[in-house]
Amino acid sequence: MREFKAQKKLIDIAFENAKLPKNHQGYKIYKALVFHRFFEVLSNAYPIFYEEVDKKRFEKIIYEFMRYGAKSEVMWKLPNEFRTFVKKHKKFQEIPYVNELLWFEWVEVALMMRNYKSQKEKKFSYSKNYKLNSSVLLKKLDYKVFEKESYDKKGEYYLLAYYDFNDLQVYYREISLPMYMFLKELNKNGLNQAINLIAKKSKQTKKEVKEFFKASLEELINLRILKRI
Amino acid sequence: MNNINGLGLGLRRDFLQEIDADGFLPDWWEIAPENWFDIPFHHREKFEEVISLRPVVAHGLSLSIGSHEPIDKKFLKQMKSFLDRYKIEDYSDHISFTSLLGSQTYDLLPLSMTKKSIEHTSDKIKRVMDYMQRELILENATYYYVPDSDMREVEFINELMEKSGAKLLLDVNNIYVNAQNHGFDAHEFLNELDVSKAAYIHVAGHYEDEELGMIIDSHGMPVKQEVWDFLGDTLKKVDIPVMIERDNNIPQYSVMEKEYKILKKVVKNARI
Repeated sequence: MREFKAQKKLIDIAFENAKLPKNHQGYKIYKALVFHRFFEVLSNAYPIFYEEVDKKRFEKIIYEFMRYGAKSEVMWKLPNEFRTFVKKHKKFQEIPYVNELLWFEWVEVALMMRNYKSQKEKKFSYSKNYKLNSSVLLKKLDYKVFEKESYDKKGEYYLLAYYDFNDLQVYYREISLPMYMFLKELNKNGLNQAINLIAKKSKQTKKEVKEFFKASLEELINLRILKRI
Repeated sequence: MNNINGLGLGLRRDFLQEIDADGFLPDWWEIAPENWFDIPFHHREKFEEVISLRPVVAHGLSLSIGSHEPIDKKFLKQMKSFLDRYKIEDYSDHISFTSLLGSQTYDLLPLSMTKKSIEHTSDKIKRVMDYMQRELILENATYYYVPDSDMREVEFINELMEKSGAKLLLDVNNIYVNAQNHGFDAHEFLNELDVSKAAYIHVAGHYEDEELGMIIDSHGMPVKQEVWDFLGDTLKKVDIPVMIERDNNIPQYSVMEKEYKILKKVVKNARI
C-alpha cells in the first residue's frame, strides 16, 4: 500500500535505515527534527555521560537505538529505554563504567517521577518491622560513578539513593558494606532477620548490632527511607 | 467543545510555581496529557490545584492517528483513565503520525493525502471516539514535503473531518507556515476550509531557516505579526475559542501573560 510505503520511507530515512535523498529538504528537516528529539532528551537526562562520551559515537548509537525502536509514548521514559538498550547490546564498551554511570544518572529521574503517598514520620523502634520506602534504591557498584572525576575508580561501593521529601530532590549516600547488607536483608526478610545476619557475620551479639545501627536507623526513619509495615 | 470559552494558554511545568489563584489566569488551560501521566511528586499538588482553577483541554502528542498500524490500546486506556481522573472532556491530537511498527519518533510526521489515507484514518478516529467516549479534535499539522499524495491539503482535511466525524483544531500558524513553504495562499485555503467543523484555534510562533529556505513550526518563539494578522482575518470567519501554544524555549509565565494580552487585543479587534 503506497500510504504505508510513504510512512516507512520517511521513518527509514529519519532512523538512517535508508540514505537521505539528495536535494530533498523535507526529508532532511524531518531527519533533523526526529534526531533532535532523541538527542535533547538523552543528553539532558545523562549530562555526565554526555560529557564523557565521544560525540560522534553518541550520535551513531542514538541512530542505532532509534532503529532498535523506542516504545514508550511518554518521553521521560526514553532515557531508561536507552540505558537498557546500551546494556543489552553492550554499547560503549570503551567506557567500562558506562552501565553504572547511566544507572546513576537515571535514578534521579526515576525517583523524582515515582508516585509517592504522603506519609507521616514515625519514631524508630526495634519492636516494629520495616522495609525500604519506594523512594529508595540500593546498589552495589564496581566504579565510583557517584563522585566527580572518580568515575573510572574501580572498587566496591555501596550506594543509597533516595528522594528527600523535605528538599524535594534526590540524594545519594555512600554506605558501608554492613549497612548495605543490613538494609538488603531488612527489605527482603524483615528487621529481625537483618539483625541476625549482621550478628552472625560480625560475630557480635544482637544487642551490640542493635546498638550499632540504632542512630542510623532513626535517621533513616526521619528521612522516610524506611517505612513501617 | 464542551466547556471551553474565551482564550486559553498552554500549561507548562515551568509555569506551575509562578501561577497564583489570585494572579493572572487565562480563561482555560490546554495541557499535553502525555507530559502529565506521571507527575513528579513535588509538582502533583500544584498541578491539581492549577487545573482546578480553570477548564482544561487535553492536547495529545502520541495518538499517531494516521499511522498505518493498529491503535495502541494500552496507550488509549492510559489516556482515557487520565482524562476521566481529571474530568477532562475535550481531547485533541494531530492529523499526522508519530510512530510506525511500534517505534516512536516523538515528532509529528506528514500523511499521504489520499482517499485511502482518509478511509484508514477515519476508521481509526471512529474507534478512538467510541472508546474514549469523547469527540476527537484533530489539528491541521505542518508538513515540510508532500508525501505520495493526490489531493490538496484543504480537500484532505475537509473530507477527513466529514467522513470521521472529528472536529478540527484550526492551527492558524500551521496554515501560514504551510502556505509559505508550499507556495499557496493562506486566505484562499481558509476560504475553502470547512470551518463549521472547527472547535478551537491554535496560534504559535515559528522561525525562518534561511539555510533550508523554509519556515519551521517551532512553537518556540513569540507569535509573529503576520500570524496575528492572519488570526484576525480567521476570527472574522469563525467565532470559537483561541489559545497560544508554546512548547519549546519556554519563557517565564509573566512573558506569556503579555502575549496573552496581545491575543486578547487581536480577538477584540477582529470581533468588533
